[in-house]
Amino acid sequence: MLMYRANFFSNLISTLGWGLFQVLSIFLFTNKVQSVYGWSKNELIILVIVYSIFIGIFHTFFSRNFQRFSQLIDSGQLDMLLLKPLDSQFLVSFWVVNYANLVRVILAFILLLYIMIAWMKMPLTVLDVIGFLVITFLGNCLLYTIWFTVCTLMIWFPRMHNLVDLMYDVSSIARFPQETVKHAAISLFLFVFPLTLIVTTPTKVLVHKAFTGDVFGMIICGIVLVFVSRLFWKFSLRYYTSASG
Amino acid sequence: MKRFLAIFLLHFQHIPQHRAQSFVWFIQLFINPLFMMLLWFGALKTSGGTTAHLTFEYITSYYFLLVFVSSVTMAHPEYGVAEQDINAGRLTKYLLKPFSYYWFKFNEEIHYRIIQGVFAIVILFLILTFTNLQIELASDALTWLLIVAMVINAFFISYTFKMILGLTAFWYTEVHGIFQLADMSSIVLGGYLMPIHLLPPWMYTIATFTPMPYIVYYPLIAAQGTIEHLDIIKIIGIQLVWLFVLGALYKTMWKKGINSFTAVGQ
Repeated sequence: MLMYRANFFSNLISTLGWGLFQVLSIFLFTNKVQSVYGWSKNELIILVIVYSIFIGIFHTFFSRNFQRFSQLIDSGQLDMLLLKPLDSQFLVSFWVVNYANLVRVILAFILLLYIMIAWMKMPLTVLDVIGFLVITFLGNCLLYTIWFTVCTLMIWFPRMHNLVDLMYDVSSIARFPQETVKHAAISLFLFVFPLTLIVTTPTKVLVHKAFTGDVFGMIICGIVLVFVSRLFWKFSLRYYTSASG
Repeated sequence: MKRFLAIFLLHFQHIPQHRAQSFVWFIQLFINPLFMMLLWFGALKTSGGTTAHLTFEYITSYYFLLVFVSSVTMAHPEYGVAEQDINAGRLTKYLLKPFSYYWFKFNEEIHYRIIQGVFAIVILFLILTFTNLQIELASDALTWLLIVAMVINAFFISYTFKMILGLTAFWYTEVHGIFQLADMSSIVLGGYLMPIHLLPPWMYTIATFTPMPYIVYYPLIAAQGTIEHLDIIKIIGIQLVWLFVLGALYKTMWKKGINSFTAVGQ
């Protein structure tokens, strides 16, 4: 990190900028709008800050690894990892940590506490915070499996490395309230359902709007997708032909 | 001109090769406007259709036209210029060619705009055919003629601006932060997030003094038929001023940057 200071600060500018941008964008939106599908202005602001924490954690641990994943497949370097005496999924998923995003997570967490306690005077118990952290962890697992499943497709389509870029935009769907998609079209809702759970559910826990169904939906989705992504990875490796394929 | 056409057609051959990647980039462009549109729908439904004097038709046409206009006008040569050409030293191969670097990169970029414009037309046509969504469009031929001029200018403003951003790699090795800040500014000030007349007045004023709204917002509202011919001509005039300013800045940066450029190998 200190060896590549310019890179670290460039990442820091980028991640903090996007975090601020997302908060600003919802402030601009709620400047004209008081509520959307039962979500008040304050709840929408909390939602977007939770998204910033959530996606900050995800980018810290995973997104850089997925960018590397596409390069590994495209250049045939995955061979090297497959020969190591460790699980290949673990090796492609946890190689790099992007520390700059941790700053975003910490700042967003402080902002969340400030807004909820000092500004909105919302009651916040220790149990809420624990519930929030557990659900955020589950949400990250869920998002990881979605990214991993999509990136595994690159085994068959190695030149589609911009699927990783697409996933950044797909993940940003999570910052919208679940009801936004639910009221639009059932086909769209079914397609993006897991994504709509991952940030909406921890936010509902914080604002005391979570139903048992939301939490269970997320747990079930998470467990199913973890198994599906694992099986899909094992299956795809049979078709991996390296750079010469 | 003959040489230019030859290079143009040569690059055009690469398009079918990258069609799947191009489609993924197009989908990327489509996601945010789609969800912003759905969010506005929610606001309109909650308020009984009267939020900020907006209607469902206005919001639908704004975000659908946004997809089309931005897919044609928003150029992205900056990463290639900075990472591949300047940082990795591939710029040397362009320096020996009988074309300016600006026009060579233009030939590489224009095809992506064409193919993404085609994707946008097809997808929007399908959505509007198979759903009950309706959009507002300008109805007279003169307006559309002026819109074509606006879109061409908008593309060149975006392209020159991004080339300038790419050239910053002559002086800084880490330019991602700069690129991302420019992207965020253009999303807010260019009308990509929401129509800029809905921004706070101070922010709207700032936006009008930047090239951002001239790339997407003004061509878009002209296509919606919400501005008069005279106003469109004024906007085209301002676009030309921006092109002149950005062109001069590009030339200055190129001259200074190329003097400090070094590459090894090859």
